[in-house]
Amino acid sequence: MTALQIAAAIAAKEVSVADITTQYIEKARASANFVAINEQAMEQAAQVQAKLDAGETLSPLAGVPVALQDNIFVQGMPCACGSAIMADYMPMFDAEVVQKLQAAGLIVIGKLAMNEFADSPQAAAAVAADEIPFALVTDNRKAAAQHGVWHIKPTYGAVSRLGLVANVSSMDAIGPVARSAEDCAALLQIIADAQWIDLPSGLTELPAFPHALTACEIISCAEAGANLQKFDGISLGKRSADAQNLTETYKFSRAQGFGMATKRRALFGSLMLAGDNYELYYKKALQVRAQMKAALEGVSMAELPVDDVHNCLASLAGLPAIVKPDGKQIMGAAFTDIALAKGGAA
Amino acid sequence: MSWEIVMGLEVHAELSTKSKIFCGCSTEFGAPPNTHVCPGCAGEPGTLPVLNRAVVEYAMRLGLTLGCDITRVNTFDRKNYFYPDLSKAWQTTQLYAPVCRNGGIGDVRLHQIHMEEDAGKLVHAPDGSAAYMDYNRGGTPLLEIVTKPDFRTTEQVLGFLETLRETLLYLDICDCKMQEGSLRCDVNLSVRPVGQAEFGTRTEMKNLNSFKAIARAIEYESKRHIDVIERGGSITQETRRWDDNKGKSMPMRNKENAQDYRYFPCPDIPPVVIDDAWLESVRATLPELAAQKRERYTGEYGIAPKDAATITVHKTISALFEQLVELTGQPKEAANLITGELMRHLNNTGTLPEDLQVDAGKLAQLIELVLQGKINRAAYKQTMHAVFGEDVQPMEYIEAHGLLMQDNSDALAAAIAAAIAANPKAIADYRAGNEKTFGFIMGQVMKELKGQGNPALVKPALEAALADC
Repeated sequence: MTALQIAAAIAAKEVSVADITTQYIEKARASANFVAINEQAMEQAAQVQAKLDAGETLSPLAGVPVALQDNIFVQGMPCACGSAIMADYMPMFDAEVVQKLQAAGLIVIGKLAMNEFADSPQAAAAVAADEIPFALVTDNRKAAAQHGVWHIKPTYGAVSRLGLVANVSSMDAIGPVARSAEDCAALLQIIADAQWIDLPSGLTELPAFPHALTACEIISCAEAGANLQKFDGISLGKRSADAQNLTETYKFSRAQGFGMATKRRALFGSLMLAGDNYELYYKKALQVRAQMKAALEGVSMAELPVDDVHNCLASLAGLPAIVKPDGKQIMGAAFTDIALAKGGAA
Repeated sequence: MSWEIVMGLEVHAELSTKSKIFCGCSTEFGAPPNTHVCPGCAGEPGTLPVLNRAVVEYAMRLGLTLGCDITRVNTFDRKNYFYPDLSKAWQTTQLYAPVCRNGGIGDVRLHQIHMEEDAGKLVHAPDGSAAYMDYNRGGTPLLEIVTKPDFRTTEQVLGFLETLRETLLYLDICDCKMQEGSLRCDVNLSVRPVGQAEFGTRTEMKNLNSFKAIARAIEYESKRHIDVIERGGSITQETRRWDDNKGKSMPMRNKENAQDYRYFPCPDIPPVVIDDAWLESVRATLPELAAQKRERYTGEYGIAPKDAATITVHKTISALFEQLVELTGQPKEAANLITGELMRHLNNTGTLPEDLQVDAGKLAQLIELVLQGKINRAAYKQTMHAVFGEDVQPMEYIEAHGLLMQDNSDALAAAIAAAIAANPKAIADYRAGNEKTFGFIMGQVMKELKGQGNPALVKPALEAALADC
């Protein structure tokens, strides 16, 4: 069943929120894709059921289980971002998207594993295998394409980043992974704060952007490297037991806490900002980004393969992109996310 | 060879906004450690900065006052470095688009003024066994005022700082307490032979916690530069820490000198646009500054320039003066009170003007009492000090200490009678037409009244008594 079908069954009292929650908690416990289970889920299910029974209208997805990539905060549940350095981290507050899910009556079942501070193939796999009806992730286009599920990388700024562990601040966007375009659209409408616009029809041919991928690498590594600096073993980040002084605390905690791929990105990003490199590389990357954004202003919709070369376009320009089960993505104009989903489903 | 000293300043002014620059936490000084901290200013992941617009307004106030060009599209940048006082491992500041450019104070040109956040404070255990972090100060808004290398003498530096301090105080944007670190000054210094156009190699001195320390540090460091160069050595460009106890500057650890801050635009803060309407609304509410007040006090009230300078030494003092003028309509009495007894009180008790707490209403009452002749000048001063020191009620104090002028007609009549009886010669002279002796007889009556007589009452009573004799 899709998420909307589950919601309809709950609304029609064919199934209770508790039954559906129990079913998915069991699946989650048995799955290697989950890193944490929400122990309050049953209690929350009972609360949602009581509200529904009292005739409250919560949302078109009330009572439906949902899972979160492990870089989104739920108070009381650890948030590790797939990293040893955040292994013991407990968030101090709920992410804004989590507050919206709760207000809409969705039941957070648990957290999904992820590559360290990156994407979550496990989220796409869990949705594809119906271990969860749908999930919230950050840009997960490659994994979604591989697993044949729907995914929206939303317009930058349409969804709050409060309570999302920052990776690439100027590109991070929380979006849905689901087994139908309609589920994606319905979930996005619950978590977003946006004035959606309709989509002019017709696919457009894109000009070539030869430097886009390089610019995207420079900016994303620099931002990610800077964002991860705070995990230094002082007030944040697991402190190395081997450190004898301040410098060793920084060195050992970070050396032991971060994985190789993260280190490589952080080092490359740091290099791109060091000394004269800011003028030589970073500033040029920002210029490429600005030119690309301007060039994409007139584009209403374009179908593209899902790969680094093409993914970086929507990332840099902050545009929405929807990945279809056929492994292609359609990139659209800003705030046409919902229209894209509807078009993709048609 | 004779040498010229060249200096530029970097002044950090901690702003007196109620809340921090990127969150709602209080900026209050001296609270218990880590009580003014939220996930945002603690640098927790998942948080986002929300700019406090009051900080931009404060920057505009200073920029407009100092004749700066105001940047209309303001952006923020991240300055990256590892230190425990910086929980995010970056400081949010303005590198590429500082809020103010140009402008100046007198002959000193400003390079720029930018907005930034302060770091937390590292507190070391007295025995050196541990260090603790207090993030209360983290995220407190700062303006960094950077001058061009326009200073040649210590006097110029101190004069500039004095005017800047006065301006910040009167604009009500910084309390300028150097001892609490709310006004901090770094001095960039180099020397060159007189007549040489190029600058010498500069050093930057930090940890200057008073005007006196700044003067000593400049003297020490300029001598050090000249000494090194005259001995054939060369100056290393570096940051040095002033040790006021030892009276020496020392290079800071090399790491801090070799720092590469890897600045880049902060992706979390959208550009802040200052439009004409906002700028003009701030301009319209700029308060009267110290220099303008001095001009008004001398022109409108006829107060001596020296006294006007004393009154405007701090905002709290000029505010008190203006309250007294409003309550009594007696600017000269008010000015005398401040330049005389109030200054004496501050000096004697070591009270800083900003810490002065006094009820202007009570002082105004005292001015009225002395002008009405109800108390004499000695009683006026005595009571005033009791008001300063113990915040007494003036009338209660005056009565309790018998300071009220004698209005008692029996006592007065007795005193007059006694004075007349004791001075027959003076009385005879007076009656013979020597009116100058009246003052002497008046003095005798006052003596009989032990100084508590009210001249306004004594004089007519004595005149009447003498006429009756």
